[in-house]
Amino acid sequence: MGQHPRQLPPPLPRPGALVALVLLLAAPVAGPLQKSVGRADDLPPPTAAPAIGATTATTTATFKGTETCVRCHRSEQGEWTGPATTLHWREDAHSRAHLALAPTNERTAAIERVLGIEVRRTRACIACHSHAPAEPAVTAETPLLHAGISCETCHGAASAYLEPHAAKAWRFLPTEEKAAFGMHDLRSPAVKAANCADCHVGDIGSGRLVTHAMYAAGHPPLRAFEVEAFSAALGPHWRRIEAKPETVRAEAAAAGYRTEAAGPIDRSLIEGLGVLRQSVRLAADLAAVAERETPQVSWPELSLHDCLACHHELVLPSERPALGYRRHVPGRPTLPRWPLGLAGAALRSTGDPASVDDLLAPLLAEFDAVPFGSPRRVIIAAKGPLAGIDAAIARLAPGRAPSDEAGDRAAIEALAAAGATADDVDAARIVAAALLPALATSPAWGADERRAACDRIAAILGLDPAGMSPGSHRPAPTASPAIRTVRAAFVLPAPTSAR
Amino acid sequence: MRRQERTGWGGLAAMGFVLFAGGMELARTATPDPPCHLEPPCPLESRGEGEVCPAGPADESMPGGAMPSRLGVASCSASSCHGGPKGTNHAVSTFAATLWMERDPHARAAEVLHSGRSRRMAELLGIGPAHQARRCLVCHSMADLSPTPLPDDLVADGVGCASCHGDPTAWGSEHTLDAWKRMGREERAALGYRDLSTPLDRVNNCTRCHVGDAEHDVDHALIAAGHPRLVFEFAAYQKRYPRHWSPAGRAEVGDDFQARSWAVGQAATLAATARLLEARVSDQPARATSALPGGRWPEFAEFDCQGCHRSIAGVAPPAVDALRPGWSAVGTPAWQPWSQAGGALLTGSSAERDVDRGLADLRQLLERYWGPADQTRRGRIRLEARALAAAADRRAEAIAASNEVDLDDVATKIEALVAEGGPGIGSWEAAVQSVLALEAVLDGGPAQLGNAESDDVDRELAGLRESLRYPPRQETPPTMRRSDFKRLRANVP
Repeated sequence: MGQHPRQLPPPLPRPGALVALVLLLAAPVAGPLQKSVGRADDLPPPTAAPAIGATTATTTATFKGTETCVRCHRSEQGEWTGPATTLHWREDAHSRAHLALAPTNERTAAIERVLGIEVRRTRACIACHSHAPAEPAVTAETPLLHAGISCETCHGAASAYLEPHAAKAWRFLPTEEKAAFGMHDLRSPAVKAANCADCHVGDIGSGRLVTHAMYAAGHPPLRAFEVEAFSAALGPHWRRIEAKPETVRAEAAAAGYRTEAAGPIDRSLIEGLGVLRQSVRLAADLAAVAERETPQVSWPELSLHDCLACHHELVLPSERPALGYRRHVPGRPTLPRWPLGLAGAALRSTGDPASVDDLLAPLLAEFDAVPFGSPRRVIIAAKGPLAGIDAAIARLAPGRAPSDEAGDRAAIEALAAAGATADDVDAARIVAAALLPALATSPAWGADERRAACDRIAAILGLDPAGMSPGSHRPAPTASPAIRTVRAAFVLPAPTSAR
Repeated sequence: MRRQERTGWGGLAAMGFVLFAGGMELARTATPDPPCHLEPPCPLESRGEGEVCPAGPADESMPGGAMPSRLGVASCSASSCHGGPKGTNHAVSTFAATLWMERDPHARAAEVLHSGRSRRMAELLGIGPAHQARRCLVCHSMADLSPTPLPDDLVADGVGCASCHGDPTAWGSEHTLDAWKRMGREERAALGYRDLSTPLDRVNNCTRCHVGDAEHDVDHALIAAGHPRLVFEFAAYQKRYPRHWSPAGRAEVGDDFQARSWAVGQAATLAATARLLEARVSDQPARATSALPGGRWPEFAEFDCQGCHRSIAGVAPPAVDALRPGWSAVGTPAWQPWSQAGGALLTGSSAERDVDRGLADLRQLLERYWGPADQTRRGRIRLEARALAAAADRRAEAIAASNEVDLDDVATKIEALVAEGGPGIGSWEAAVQSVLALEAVLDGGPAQLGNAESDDVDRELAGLRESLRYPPRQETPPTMRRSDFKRLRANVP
């Protein structure tokens, strides 16, 4: 997504600075409480790379509101305007995101009590749990359709494309031209991943960050997520071109319209890279904020780092010294490791000899040099990895020939190798989510071997030892299996076609 | 000192033999010898330059060579000095080294560096083999007494005599003379002798390794690599220490020995903790540190382990730890809960207000903000740490100088904490410190000599202690409920 309204949020508070959190993130509604710190337009934009897919239109368009979309997109009115909104509201959890802001929600009330805030007036909460951070704050009077994560949150503010997109000529416009009108190209895996990751990882530009203080107050941990699997779980309100009616497909073919260059496996890999990109970009953006805001420093922000680097039980004998720290200084918090599995598989499948750790090495070295890294150096160190990730995405984006079985097999093997070296169960889980659909239909393995491997890997999906799934206020899950057991599940037999 | 009971024919024969052997030795050395006594080719030649041959300096085997180092336990534990056989008819000092070698864990301090755990630690830190890494050897051997690497046999001595009693090179001969008895503390100290007669002397000796300082630092990188955390309480350690000296005529027989040891120990340990904090925040890389690049602040080992190292699975809202009211801001760990709990139990005169204030100020500074980059703030922390160290040192000296130490105030404080409507015990660290303080209160007087009868009080206290023990295979304290502690504590009169 990547809305970059010109107003930047005031700097995010340091852990424990509760009062500052209240003051700095209070939405305009909370007038008397608001402290004027680096207000909006005088702050330069973040120094890290811009969001993928951001255009001028995305920064200047305004919202029309979901009721505008519902007028057309609510029933089967022709092949292109499907019942998107009905499906969306019925099945998609995003439509209920605003319920987290309800005062009757027990967990929310606890967070409000601990942090001393009102969530419905706090920007950091509204930014993810409702439709658009730039809009006026959600109040008690906001109609239901405006609350939650609405159409325009993902598809882009509609003021520029509302009229044009109803025209028949619109449908075969190249996606870049559609983006010029402010419609996010969600068919592109990189853009889609950035869109999801804005909330599910974070985005300073739009004021979206779950800080560690919020976690400590009771906010559930942001779960390791894999875009394709999570999208499927939403009850998707879209169809791929291949699933559209025959007439539509014929027209598209005639017009030479190709929206999805990359095949399913490559989509997962690109999205994995996109999620990693967001994680790196978030660190750099927050470091930029911290650099500007001395002495009111919002650094370190613990939520930028791997949760499990600290939040693990201390047992003897311990798995952690046994597994090692990949030649980093033991005990220093580092970047979250869960995106690295999928991203590493993506790099490998492009034939890049470098590993994802090599790619991130400059940034990880900064976390070695000083606990949490020094903001100025983190900004500089993030540039190389961001460029490397962009280059890898560019290599994968054009896609391969549809019948490239050897390439598919290589991608599957890259994913399996990533799972076999996963750092923790969450990393293994997202690799499993990406690997399963590909492996289940791959002709490169015999049916029996395939089924056995898929069963082993599917078992990984159900693990949640760190309680990272939403609703982790339920009773604690069972003990974590040793990471070696988890890794072992990814060991695939040699493909039959290679024998 | 043992003397020969009589010199007779046997003595003459012995002398003759020695002369004969000496003659043989002289004859042997008439021919050119390799500089060491290992069979050539030297198996250690591959070690390269700068390595010290474990056979010792070349001069050692030559008569009239340079004075060999006296650091080793061997130089103290000659059978006619301190390494004689145990027995009841001669002074304990004649077999002090024998006792030490038999039962003292310090003797095995260097052995542990060969274990699998140590090997893995050294691998993760990238410092070379643990038994040769200065970072490990400064605490686990006498390497901190020598600017050059110690030969292997001295390393194998572990934390030897010299570690606590001082390097005997300058006083090893002198202390056998009558004049030694007439020398004062300062004169002896000038020769490198470390006087360990009072609890204050002893605790300041122990905290060098068991708390740490600029050169000896078990920091978070070491702990993450696998090192146990350091938790030190002097009186408890002293009580359980296998003595290699006679308590007769020493501090142990003082009427308030246990109480004094506890109070002095707490104050001096606090001072050492504050000095270590100063060293860490000053970003001085310890001389022994080789693996940590760049800066090291915030040093996580200054903070509560359980503040971070807790599972986030299944945590019910709110996630704020109810066991730590008001100690830390949301989402940041408490600073040094062990030292804070100990400091809170110390009571008394105006000197302690300095200590209390120092603790409170540091807590304010450290629990609100961790930022690694802010030099100003780190300067402030350094000043506060130095002030706390000075205040705690003053406190320790005041206690050491006082005629009598009693811990009634401490007992009252603990009672107030666990009483109905009281604030309760805030954390595991506070609970353990309370239990150890209770032990000191109940022991109160001279050291326990021999095996005391275990009575009801001791049993209840032991039960309370057991309830606080780490669960098996866990490096974390048990989940402790205040009500449990209260109940168990109530059983102890």
